[in-house]
Order: sequence, then C-alpha cells, then structure tokens
Amino acid sequence: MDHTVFSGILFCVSFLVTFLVTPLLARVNKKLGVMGPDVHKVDKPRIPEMCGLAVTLGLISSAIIAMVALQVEARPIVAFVLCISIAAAVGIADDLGPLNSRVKPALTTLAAVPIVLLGTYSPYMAIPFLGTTRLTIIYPILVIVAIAVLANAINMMNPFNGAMSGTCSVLSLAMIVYLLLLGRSTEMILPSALLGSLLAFHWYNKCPAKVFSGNAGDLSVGAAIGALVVMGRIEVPMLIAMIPHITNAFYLLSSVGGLRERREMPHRPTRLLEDGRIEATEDGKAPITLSRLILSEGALRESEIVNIMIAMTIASSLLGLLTLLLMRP
Amino acid sequence: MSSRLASLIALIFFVWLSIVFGLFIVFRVIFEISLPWQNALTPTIVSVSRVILSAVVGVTWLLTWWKLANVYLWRKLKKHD
Repeated sequence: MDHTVFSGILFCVSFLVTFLVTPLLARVNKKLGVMGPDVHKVDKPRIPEMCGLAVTLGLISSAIIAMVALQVEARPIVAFVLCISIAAAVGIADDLGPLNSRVKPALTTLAAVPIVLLGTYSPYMAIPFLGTTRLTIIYPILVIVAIAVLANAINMMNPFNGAMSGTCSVLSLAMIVYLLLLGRSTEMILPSALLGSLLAFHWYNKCPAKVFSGNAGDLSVGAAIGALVVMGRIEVPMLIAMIPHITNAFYLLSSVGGLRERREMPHRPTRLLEDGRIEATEDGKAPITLSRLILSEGALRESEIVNIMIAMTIASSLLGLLTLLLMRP
Repeated sequence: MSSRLASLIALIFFVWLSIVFGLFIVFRVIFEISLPWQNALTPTIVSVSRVILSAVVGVTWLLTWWKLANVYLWRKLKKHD
C-alpha cells in the first residue's frame, strides 16, 4: 500500500483510539484520585491528571498496526515505542510522586537509549551553509541530549489548557509537510499518527479543559517528537519550528538560574485576576516565560494566550519550512 | 491582539535570523580560517581556534536572546502601566 495513503489511515486510527481512551482514562483517574486543580480558573476545579497517556496509547497502537500491516522494518518502530514508553514512565513517576528537578531531565535521557542502541538514526546531518556532514561520534550524544531537551521543553510549555496539544499538533503537521517535501513517505507514517492522537486529545484538553495531559503525556509527546525528528532526519527545520518551545525553556532556565520545579519557584510569572483573565506580574524575581512575554502588553483570557502560542508555532514552522527550502540543493 | 502577535512573531523572526546568520558565520567564516604559515602545531591551533570562536558565537546568540527578552518584557510592562 502507498505509504502516504497509509499515513492517512493511521491518522484516523490514532485519532479514534485517543478519542475513545481519553474519557475512559479520565474516569479511572477520577476514581483513583489522580486529579489536579486548574489554577487558571477562578473556581479552581479539580481535573483528572495524566490523561496524556491516551496519546501514548494511540501512538503505540498505530505503531503496532504499521509494523504488522506494512511489514516495514521492525527496528525503528520498536525503538520509537520504547522511547515514548520510557518517557511516559518517567512522567508517571513525576505525576505520582514529584521527582527532583535534576533527576527528571536525567531520567528523560533514558528515553533516547533505544534509538541509539537500536541504531535507528543516520549520522549524516544536513546543516545550512555546510551541507550534509558525517557526525559518527557526536550524533548519538546529540540524539540523547536532543530527546531529553525537547521532552522537557514541551513539558515546560504546558502551563495552560490546550497549550501542549495545540502547539504540538502544529509541530506534527510541520513534520509531515517537511517529510512530504523531502519525499520521505515512510517516515511520514508516525508523525501522521501523532497528529491524529494530538488532535483527538486537544478536543478534551482545550480551554476549559476536561482532562490534563500531566507530565506523563507531555514527556511522552516531547520524546515522540524528538525521536521522529531524528528518524526523519529533519533536525534543523524542526529546531527552527520549535523556537517558541526552546526559547521558553531557555528564558525560564536562565532566569531561575538552572533546573527548578514549579513548586520551587515562589515568585510567579503570571497571576489570575478576579474576572478570569491572566496578567503578567511585575515581580523582578519572577522567571521570564513565553506566557509572561505574551501577557506583558496586558491581561488576556487563557484561550487567547493559547491561541497566540499556536500562532507563534505556526510562524516558526513556516520559518522552518523556509529553512528547509534554503537548504535544498 | 494582532499588534501583540506581530511583535511576538518579530521576536521569533529575529531568533531565526540570528540562527541563520550565526550558522553562516560559523560554517562560512570560522570554519574557513587558516594560518599563513605551516608547522606541526598549525592544525591544532586552527582546530582549537575554530571551536573557541564557534563557542563565542553560540554564547553571543544566547546572550542576545536573553537581553532581547528582558528588554521586550520590561518595556512592554512599563508601557502598559
């Protein structure tokens, strides 16, 4: 079967799986008491946490279908499934009993191990102004660093309802477009499944959220994007597409002076107003974040902030596309 | 809302430009560096210089982004007041 058509089928499968599993997971987590307050609402409703695992399940089921139906090489799919499962396990551990702010990123590097050990990467990297270069020794180290950084950057970019699912849907679509332009139809299969899962999850996660993704969902999606970037060999265009995520992580880490958990930051970058809008604080000790930059011109509703984040990701994805076109011989 | 989005996208555009320009400086200028004389130490000196200069470009990138975000945030907050 044509891989482009199969990508469309897997998009539908993962959409359906995530769409059906998310409410079930929400019910189970509600019964188990795995709930968290929606801090950006005036009445602070309690919302089921860790429901982003539905995206992981949607991806795993699509990956297994791809392996069986297409009879493609099992190694990349096994590496991908192991990668997102390890990241999800780290996220579950963090959701259930918070991990130390240094331990979490360190554990996330484990998610890259299957990619490196199973050798599902190509050490030939296309770099603007240099062309394709062979990085035999450095590339596996870059894979480990990149997957850990991307997973945690996406985790940091999820302070509002629908921020992770919305911006990562744009990133998945960007990945599909880049791979389509490069004529890599086999590599398009898993990003299509990711897009399907994320759009289904966004239905429940968008403002006002009925479910939270949790660290489990955020880290798993981040690791999935990292793994797909490596396997699709679209490192530089995706680095550009992820400028909002990467700069947000950079601003946050550099303003608090290293790795810190949210609970370790007494000075907050934003505050909730009585009318339900959110505004940037003028506290000089509060971290600089993308949401604080967005709100520096005045208070906005949560959904408006997320729409701006999505629009910024669309803009950076277009710049990634421009970079890809400039890099083509 | 649209002017706010335009200035944020301008920020992203600046980061993109700095990445492209930085890569150009690293791969088309720094990586082309050579010394007019040749001896046993020349390859080592050239390689070390390339790494140090590339690192300087990297640090300059990060400092510029950091400064830009700070200036952007405090200017907008003051203006809003």
